[in-house]
Amino acid sequence: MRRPIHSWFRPAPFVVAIGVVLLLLVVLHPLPGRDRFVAEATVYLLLLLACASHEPIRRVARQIGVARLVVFTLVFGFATWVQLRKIYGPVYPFVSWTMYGSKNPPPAYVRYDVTLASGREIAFPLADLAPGSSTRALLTHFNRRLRHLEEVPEDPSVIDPSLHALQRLLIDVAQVYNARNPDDPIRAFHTSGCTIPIREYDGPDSIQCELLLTFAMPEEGVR
Amino acid sequence: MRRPDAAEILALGRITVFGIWFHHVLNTPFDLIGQLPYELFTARGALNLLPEAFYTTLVASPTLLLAWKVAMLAGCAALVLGVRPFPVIAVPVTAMLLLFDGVVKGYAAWVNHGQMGILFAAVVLCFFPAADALSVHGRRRSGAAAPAVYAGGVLVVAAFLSAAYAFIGTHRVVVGGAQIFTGDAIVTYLAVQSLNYSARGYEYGLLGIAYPLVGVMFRIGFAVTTLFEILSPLVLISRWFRRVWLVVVVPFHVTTLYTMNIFFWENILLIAVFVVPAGYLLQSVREDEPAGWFPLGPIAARGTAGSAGV
Repeated sequence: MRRPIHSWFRPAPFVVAIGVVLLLLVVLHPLPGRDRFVAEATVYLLLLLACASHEPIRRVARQIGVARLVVFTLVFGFATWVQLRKIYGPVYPFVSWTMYGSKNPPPAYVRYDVTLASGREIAFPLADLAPGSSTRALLTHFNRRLRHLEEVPEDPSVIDPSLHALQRLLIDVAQVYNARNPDDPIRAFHTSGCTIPIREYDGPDSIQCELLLTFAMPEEGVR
Repeated sequence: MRRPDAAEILALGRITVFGIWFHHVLNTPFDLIGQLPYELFTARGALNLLPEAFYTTLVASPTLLLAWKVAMLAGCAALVLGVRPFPVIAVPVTAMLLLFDGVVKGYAAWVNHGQMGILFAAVVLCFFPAADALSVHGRRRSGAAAPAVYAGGVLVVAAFLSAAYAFIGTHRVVVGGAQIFTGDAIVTYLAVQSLNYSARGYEYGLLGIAYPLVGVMFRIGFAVTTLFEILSPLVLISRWFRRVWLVVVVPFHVTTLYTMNIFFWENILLIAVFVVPAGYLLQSVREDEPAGWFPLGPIAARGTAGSAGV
């Protein structure tokens, strides 16, 4: 007896094809932008076909109702489009997923240290100030304003005009901290740019940090 | 012991998702939202449907912020308890949670991917009868949906989760090729994230540059994890792959806590309640079919004979 045509539509060939495409991607790299788009779309299409060719999934899809099927097909399709086009903010809650995708990330970070009224020096306690869990995303606000700095200042206490926006923002956020911690408020800021010697790392002392900006918090009410 | 059925597994997903949201809303200092400089805030995407005056009024009013928080907590509690009619409560609560997530992320410099999984899971649950079991009203007897509908809800959330992993891994390979695994990319990421500000303060990511052998292990782990990320959707169709995937991905999430100070604990819970039972649920609504020629085919077919194949 002949098999019905759909019985030949199985996940296995698509899984094999995914493996071949991934192998090609690694071997043929680097790809130009347009080919990257095609390659990425091909992987997603093969994954979709592998899942869609699985009979239990098709059976569930047939039974959940047309409305749900249409809605989630559109949502999955749009999510994939956003991913392929590398769109981030404008389509929230959809967003591209591209974390840790650079082959040459800069081995650098910025330290925002503060001196408290008690004399203690600590990292600017942003965990107490970020409304959600994205403390580092708040930190990035500062880093973006720091990018305007073209070279390391000779005297970090003389604020480069390009850093006025950063200084003002740090003060504004620090005042929120001080209002919540009146017993030991922030008195001064020390911002340093640090470079990690990835290949020659020899303990914390081998990390090179340069002071970029240092200033005292203005007195209460003085801005 | 009786295995939970599809309605109970979907209901467990409902309790997990809205329970996590209850936790997040409860532990978010809403007063802080009103105190931070408004210039940090950006309404993104769907949040632009509301006028800016809405946000300026909201964040400037402690009373409104408190009312918003209480409404979300009450709504999440009702959803955890399985109060029916489910969609009547779930839709407005999920809309408020979307606004909450958008406002919190609006104060970030970029759209943080944390909580995206539970956000989409909440949206998906709105479309399914997720309060037909494990509810304060008891089990719905009359008008209950077909098992495939409950299984569908679990399957869609599992598919969303697995798609997100596939997106991350595929982008990485397409952009970085083999070099991203053979070069210094991962040890640099781990070192930077160990030293970047974090309240957690774990610095084990520095081991990759302090000890070359550890660096090699991190590179191998990075490549293996990326491969499994790309193939994540296959957890829906193969039991053996799902088992191996769990062995790779769950420890990966734990490792990122200690090496990068990043911990998506919500994802581990979502994996437990949606991905793990997805194959079992699919099996419960399938029919006999002939075996295929490739390992994934026969494995899937054997599942119909009694041993779970998917």
